[in-house]
Amino acid sequence: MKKLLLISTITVAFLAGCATNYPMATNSVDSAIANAQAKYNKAHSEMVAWGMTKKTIEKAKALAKTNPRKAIALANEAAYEADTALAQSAQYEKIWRAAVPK
Amino acid sequence: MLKKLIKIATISMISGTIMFAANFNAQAEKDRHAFVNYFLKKFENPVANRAKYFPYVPIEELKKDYIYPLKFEDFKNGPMSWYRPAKEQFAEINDFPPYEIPLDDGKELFTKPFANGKTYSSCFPNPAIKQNYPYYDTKRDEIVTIGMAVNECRVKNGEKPLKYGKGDIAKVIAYLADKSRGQKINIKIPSANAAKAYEAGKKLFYKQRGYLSISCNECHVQSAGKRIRAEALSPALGSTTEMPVYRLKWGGLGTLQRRLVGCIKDTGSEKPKMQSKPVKELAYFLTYMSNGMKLNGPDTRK
Amino acid sequence: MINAKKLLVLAIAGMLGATIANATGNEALIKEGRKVFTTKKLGNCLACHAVQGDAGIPQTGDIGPKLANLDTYPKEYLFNKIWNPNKTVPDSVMPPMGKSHKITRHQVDALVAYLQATTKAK
Repeated sequence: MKKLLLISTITVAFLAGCATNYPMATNSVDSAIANAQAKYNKAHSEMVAWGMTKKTIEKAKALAKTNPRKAIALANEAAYEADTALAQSAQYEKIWRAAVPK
Repeated sequence: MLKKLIKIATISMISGTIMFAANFNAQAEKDRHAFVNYFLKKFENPVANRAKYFPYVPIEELKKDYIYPLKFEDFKNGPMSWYRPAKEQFAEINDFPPYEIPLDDGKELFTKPFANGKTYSSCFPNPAIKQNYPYYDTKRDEIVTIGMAVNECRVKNGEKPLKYGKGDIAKVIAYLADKSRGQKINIKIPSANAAKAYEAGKKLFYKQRGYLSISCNECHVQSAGKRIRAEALSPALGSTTEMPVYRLKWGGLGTLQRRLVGCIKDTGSEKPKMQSKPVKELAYFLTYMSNGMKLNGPDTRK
Repeated sequence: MINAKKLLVLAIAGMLGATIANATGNEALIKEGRKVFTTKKLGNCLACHAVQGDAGIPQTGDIGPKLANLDTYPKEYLFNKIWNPNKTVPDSVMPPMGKSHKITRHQVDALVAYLQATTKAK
């Protein structure tokens, strides 16, 4: 019985883990905003952030209390932008030199 | 014998030092030659070399609207160097150059005494110095732009620094530029850190960025001489000679820094701060690419 | 017998209706695609491309090729090319408007519909 309980607990925990893993559909508005903010901060510090990401996070923050669903959507969009910007920068880091006239 | 040995040793030491000093700009010189050659070849005969450089520009347009061959010095005129419609339009506009009034203001600001009785002349006894900016100050170990030099002069004389980019600072720089008109751009790379700054600027120029995934290079080297909608894309070669520039889009004068952060924003990137390290490095790289070209600022652009 | 006849008529009418609805739906999509193509805040494709068969677009740029005969390409190929050209050409000058979330999947579909209909080889 105990064993069964343990297994089912692990399974539930595992499934829950999977569900929150992708695509960052975080249930809590605060963690969605924190996630977006952290990713934006990284992109910003590397000077590769996109133009509207910061504003999108600010909008999410402003809506956190009144419209958390919208706020989460905005925060996830901002996180996507920051992620894509960082990935793009890593990708171009490998190829930009080929564009220099020889 | 001993004398001879000493002589040889001395000569090799001197030449060693010279070689070492010259090494800091070795890569930059290689880059610059290739850069200049690219533009000279591209605009040597666009009709004959259409397949290589202008594959999507209609041949009739190349024949009718393109001016060629271009010489090195021609590139100081931006899109007016090669695009006939732009040349005609700006010849008309510059009958009464729109930068003349702000330039007069600049002269007044330059000669008007600060509260302590001194003027800008105390810092710029010879105002024909713009060709040396931005320069790498090895003591401070940083790039010094002409805007910084103007503001440092003010602070030294007990005045508040001016806001960068436009307004009074652009007017004062316009005065210095006008006094430096015809001087040849003369950017040096005096240290290993200066070479690093140059490389950082080069990367910012060539690496794609922003949500549009484009680089300075893609528009102003690869696509220079093509049109984005009706706008003729200006060549990066010579692009700092007209600064500060009166842009019809701005309805006023703006500095190189203002233009650069605007361009970076246009890629869909966050707008960096003027006079921040990356923007200064970009200015340093870009100005170096036009070394030897005569200054022609202030001038007018779209 | 009467029932079968009735059914047949109904079926034909239904099919016809569906076709008409489809045609108007497609026309709306084509129209939307043209708007995405020519609007600066959307695709802004005209900044670089002219379109064969649509001379009505003023002042197209000439950085990219004049788009022609796109009906000969599979829809999916065009969709992917517009969504993210860097996937197949890493240093492509063309911006990844879809991947950057500047235009939606539906808007890319609309662009494909517009371009295939307009640039058809005659």
